[in-house]
Amino acid sequence: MPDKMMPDHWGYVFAAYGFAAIAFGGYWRHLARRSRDLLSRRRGKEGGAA
Amino acid sequence: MRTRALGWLAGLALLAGLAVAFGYAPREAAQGNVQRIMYLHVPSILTAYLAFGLVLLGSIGYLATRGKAWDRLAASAAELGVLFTGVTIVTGSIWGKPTWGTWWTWDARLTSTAVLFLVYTGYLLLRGMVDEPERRGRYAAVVGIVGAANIPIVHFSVKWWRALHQPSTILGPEPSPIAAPIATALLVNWVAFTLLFVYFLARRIEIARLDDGAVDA
Repeated sequence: MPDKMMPDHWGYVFAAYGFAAIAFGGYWRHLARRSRDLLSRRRGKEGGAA
Repeated sequence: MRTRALGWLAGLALLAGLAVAFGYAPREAAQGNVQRIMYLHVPSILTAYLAFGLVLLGSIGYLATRGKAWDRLAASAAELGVLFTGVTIVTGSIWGKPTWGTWWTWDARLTSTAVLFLVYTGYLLLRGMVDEPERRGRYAAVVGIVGAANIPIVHFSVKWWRALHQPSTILGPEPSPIAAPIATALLVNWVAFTLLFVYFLARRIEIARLDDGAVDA
């Protein structure tokens, strides 16, 4: 065992996990919104052509 | 439908990753609990390597065949590679502050990772700047191939130069010195990140297909 162990620094741990959650969650929402927009535009085009 | 199932699987794997990172992996002997950032940081860069490897594959495939599917693969993987590299840099910086005493240092590993991030951000900007699809694909493929040269530089930088960053403990030439529970937690999170990447990639490629108007092609 090392003589001296570092303090826990939970704040840094939660900051890192929080950042990753925001980054991945934000990207997931971006993909969902973009996909919805493109699909509705496509349906609009198909409706207009019919 | 298959993509949605993949999403659920990735979500469950991420929950399992959190459970092993906080509930199963022990408190590390020297760094204490702050070492748990490793279960985010290392899988992120390994996933980024995978993404940029696919950019290389897609770029070569596009130049060889001019098939749009290759270009879509490269573009989608590049976007994800930038995302995962960004997460690597930020989580590494957060980990660096309590362990090294600084958010950032111009160490070989950190600098080469920042260059990797900038090269592929440039790749995405280039794609946004060229309207003509064939020219865009061709230019981007060249950057995608040249940029891949930086991947081994990032990985071996800690071996080639004196660096503050620790040497590779996995994917290195010697057997890994990591204790079994820590290695298990790392592996579970690596699998979870890979599933998340595959899910994001499937969705991003689908969007690229819709964008190209190639859904029925």
